[in-house]
Amino acid sequence: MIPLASLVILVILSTFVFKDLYSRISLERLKLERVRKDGTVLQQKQVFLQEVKEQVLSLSDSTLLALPDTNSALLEISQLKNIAEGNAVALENLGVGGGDAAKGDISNVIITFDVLGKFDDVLNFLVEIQNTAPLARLENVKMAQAGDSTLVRAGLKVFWAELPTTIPAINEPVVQLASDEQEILNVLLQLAPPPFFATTTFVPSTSQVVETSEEPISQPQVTSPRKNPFSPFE
Amino acid sequence: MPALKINLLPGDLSPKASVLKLANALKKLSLLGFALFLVGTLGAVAFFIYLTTEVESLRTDQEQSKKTISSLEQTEQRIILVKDRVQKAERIIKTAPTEKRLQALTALVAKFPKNVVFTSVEILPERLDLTLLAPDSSVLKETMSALADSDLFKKVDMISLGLNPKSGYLVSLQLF
Repeated sequence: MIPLASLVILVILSTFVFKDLYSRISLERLKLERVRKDGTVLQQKQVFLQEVKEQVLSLSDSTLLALPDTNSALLEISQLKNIAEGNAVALENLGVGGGDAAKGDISNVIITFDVLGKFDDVLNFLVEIQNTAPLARLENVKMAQAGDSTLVRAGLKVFWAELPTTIPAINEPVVQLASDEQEILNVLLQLAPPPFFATTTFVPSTSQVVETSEEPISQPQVTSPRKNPFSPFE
Repeated sequence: MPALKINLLPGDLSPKASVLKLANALKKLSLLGFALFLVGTLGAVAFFIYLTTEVESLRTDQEQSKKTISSLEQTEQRIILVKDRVQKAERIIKTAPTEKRLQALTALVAKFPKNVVFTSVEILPERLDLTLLAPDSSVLKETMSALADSDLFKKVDMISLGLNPKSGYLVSLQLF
């Protein structure tokens, strides 16, 4: 009787003890797996941030100049005057208005102007406008012969956009640039800044080009955004 | 004198040999089971302690990484800023067709004969309207050949062709 009772007690005791231990161990293993993944993300993030620390300063300055956070019409007018002077054309009837200043996250305003000069010069002028910072796009370009000269009447859309207000949680991987975004970045870096803006432009090498990871390597434990880090730029 | 063993119980009350065997087997089994239980429990507890220690150790490393990342927060802000500007600039650049038409016009001007005069040009989102003045038929032919060979436009519509004996041929084109 006693051996049988002790065997039954042992079976019952083993069931409870092992069940409890199994669930605790499973939980701890999951925790370990998650901590390991987070650790890898943090490690990669730390290494990446340390690597790009020096270069990113000039990159951000150049991109912010290409697409400022405030109305860039005055900056663009200054650029237009410089380009007109450089191409020996007359810039007249400058006007600012229209656009969708309040719509969406990218605002724009249209600068209208007339340019008078030789055909080749006004064409150069128009091409150069597109290659200067801030980012601007020509609209409604009309060119007509006026005696020996050519008169251009054009609208130029200039853009600006609000700065981002949040950065991802500390244990989220750094969101990097996709290859098409890298091309756009190169375009932005090649835009000529106004003469009074002296920035040292850094063009990253292919190895430093970061690709977008569509899915984070691990789920962040902290999802609350950090405080607005861009206030110093405003 | 050796001790004498005497069984005072009646013979029918003593357990059967098979029951005694089973009881013995059960006793051995419970002893073995208890030993296994002890070993298993100790092993599981040890593994649990190992896991907990490992988690704690990794967490300590992570805290260190987090501190370093926090000290690099300004760099991260700038990366986010660059990404944001690039994404917005991409939207602007992709929705602006005028730049391509202007580039095409510049390329076309380089291919045309020098004595062709552009009397009017209009750059529209969907097409390029051109009016040209060619002083004579050979220049006109050269211009049209250059246009045909340029491969810059998918379609070219000639809207009008006029001749003024004093100035030459006036051609209106729509380039798509």
